[in-house]
Amino acid sequence: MISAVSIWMPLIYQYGVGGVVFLIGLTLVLRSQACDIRRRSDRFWLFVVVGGMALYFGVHLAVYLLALYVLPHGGRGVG
Amino acid sequence: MTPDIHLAPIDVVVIVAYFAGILSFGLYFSRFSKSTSDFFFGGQRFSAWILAASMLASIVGSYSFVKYTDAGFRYGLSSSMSYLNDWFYVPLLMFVWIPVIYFARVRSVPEYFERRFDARARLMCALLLAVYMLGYVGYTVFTLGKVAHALFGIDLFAACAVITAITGVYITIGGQTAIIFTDLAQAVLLIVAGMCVVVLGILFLGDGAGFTTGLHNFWAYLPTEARIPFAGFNAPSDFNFVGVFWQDMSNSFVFFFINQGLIMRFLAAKSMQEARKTLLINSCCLLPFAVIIVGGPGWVGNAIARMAPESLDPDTPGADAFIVIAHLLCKPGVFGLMVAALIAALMSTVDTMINALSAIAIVDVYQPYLAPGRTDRHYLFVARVVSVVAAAGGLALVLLFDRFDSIYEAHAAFTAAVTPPLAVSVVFGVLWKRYTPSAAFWTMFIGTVAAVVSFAYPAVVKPFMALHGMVVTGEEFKPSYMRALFLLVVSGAGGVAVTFFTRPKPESEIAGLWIGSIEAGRATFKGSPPSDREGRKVVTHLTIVAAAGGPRRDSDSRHVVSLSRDAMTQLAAEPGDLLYIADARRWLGGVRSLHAVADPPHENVDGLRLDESAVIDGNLIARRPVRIEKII
Repeated sequence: MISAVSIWMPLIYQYGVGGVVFLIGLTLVLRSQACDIRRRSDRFWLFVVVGGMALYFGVHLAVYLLALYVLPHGGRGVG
Repeated sequence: MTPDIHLAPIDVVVIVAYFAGILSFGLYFSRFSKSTSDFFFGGQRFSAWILAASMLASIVGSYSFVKYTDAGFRYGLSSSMSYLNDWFYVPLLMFVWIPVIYFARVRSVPEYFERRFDARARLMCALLLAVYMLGYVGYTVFTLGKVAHALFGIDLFAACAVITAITGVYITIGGQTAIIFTDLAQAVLLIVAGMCVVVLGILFLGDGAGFTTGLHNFWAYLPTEARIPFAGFNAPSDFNFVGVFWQDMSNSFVFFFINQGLIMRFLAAKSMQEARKTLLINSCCLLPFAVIIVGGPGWVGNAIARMAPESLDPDTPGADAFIVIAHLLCKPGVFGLMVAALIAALMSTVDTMINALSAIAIVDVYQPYLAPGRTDRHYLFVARVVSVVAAAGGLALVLLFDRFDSIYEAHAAFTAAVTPPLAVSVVFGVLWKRYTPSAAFWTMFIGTVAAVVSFAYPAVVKPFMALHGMVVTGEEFKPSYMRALFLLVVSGAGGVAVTFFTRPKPESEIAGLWIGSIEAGRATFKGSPPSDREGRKVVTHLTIVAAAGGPRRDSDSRHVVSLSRDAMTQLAAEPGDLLYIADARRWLGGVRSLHAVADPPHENVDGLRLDESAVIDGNLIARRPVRIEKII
């Protein structure tokens, strides 16, 4: 039986440490105006970047929930 | 145990037909390669969809099938980790690195190093990059040769030589344009083949009761830990989350930021926005597909081995898993397609690397140091010779890799030694104005020395492993994953220390090359202040005019064209703006197109006026309408 910490720690580390890297990058591009939000195309790409991060997190979380709560007793099938 | 596997005659027919088809395809597109710009970058003219698909084929090598099916077969969905943890540095890639290299018109990453730092840093970067890519060529060829040798009894070196020779032919003749289009075809085959095994696996698990039951059984037979999309946090020692996380932090970074093969795809885009779209399509749409393509066969194999161990031995060696699972699920003919997919994966990775190596050899060594000021035709000839030499060099490395105990060890041996110092120097160079040319050189040098030290004395990696609760004693002590974190820290510390004792380049000399000067880069790219007024695309016909005194070019040797006043208004373009002119058939993806500078409008109702040399350079067809858009 794997522990809850062992199960959830990778997700927390991935989006904790990875999230810090992401936020540092985002802060730098906004402060330096490499992403200039006065420009429509840059606003679009900023939305894409943040949305992409949310999408990846959502997919990972969804697979976690499916793994733990849909057919939780893995190792046996039907038929 | 690996079961006895044979190719049926129909399998051989499929494989031979595939080889012939891909060779013809590559040779056909070789006619669009007329200059070194075409040879290396495809003329900077392509659409995002075509670049993203060919990029996928470059990312998915034959080693990917072997490596990730192995991981999927043994550990389940956590084999997807490496493909789904790249988003963290997308802000830097999208808003900083792509604009910097695109607007700076650099032809290689080492060239960026010379302009941002100095010639010494460029040479060091070129050397490390060449070692990295040559190693990749050898490793990729070696992986498939190993599979062919183990399962079909083909001599390892002979198998590698034949594959390398065929790949070398269309690269040498066709260059980047041939690569982009053959990789596009190979990407389709990869997706079809990978999905085919997964779907057939689900149907097998359905045991005749249909796809839905198969899907239910797939999920039910996987134990919970195999359903989690991440490996155990710090164990087992040969496949754990935190090790893969840090190894990938360096390897994936280098893949997208420094790997000349992928950089050349971004530079082949018709505009910077199109390069961004390429990244988006690749990361958000195609990479998740790639996860299923390369890992999916292992996932279904994992469930099948639990449901029907008499059909698939749970103890099947990992390196053989893909071929064994494909052989179990596929009928003759389809199995041939799977083997062809493995070969396609190899060719599409190797061709990109060989072309990239050739680019570095010409752009960073031959042209600036050995033979400056020669004709473009001469450089194109030498580029083709270098492609042949690089292919032979990669093949020679097969003998070296064959001395390692496993393909994993061979892979880690060269990537861990080369990638972290390069990653650190690029990050500092693009983000930190104060970062000095000397610091860039010493970052790479210190990092490389530290890599050598860490192989001689692996104990130096222990503190980084202990910090994450990993085993640091006995046979379970395996430092190869966390070596990346060790080298990132050592290289970074070295770079920071040297920076404070050396002099940075004046800001005026690095305009457009770091995060705070993207606007300057845009202006340099265009040759005048950028215009951000947004217009619409215009479709019109060509009017070829005889140019008195030769072809009309601006000071940057770009073609000059003129449009009607109405078309200029629709485009929101002014004289001096940069236009992109392409055959109106979108499915061509930009193969018939060119960039040109807008002249003051002509007085006719419509039509694009240009001289014949522009038509030839853009591979345009005079009777075909063109679609025009303003780039900047």
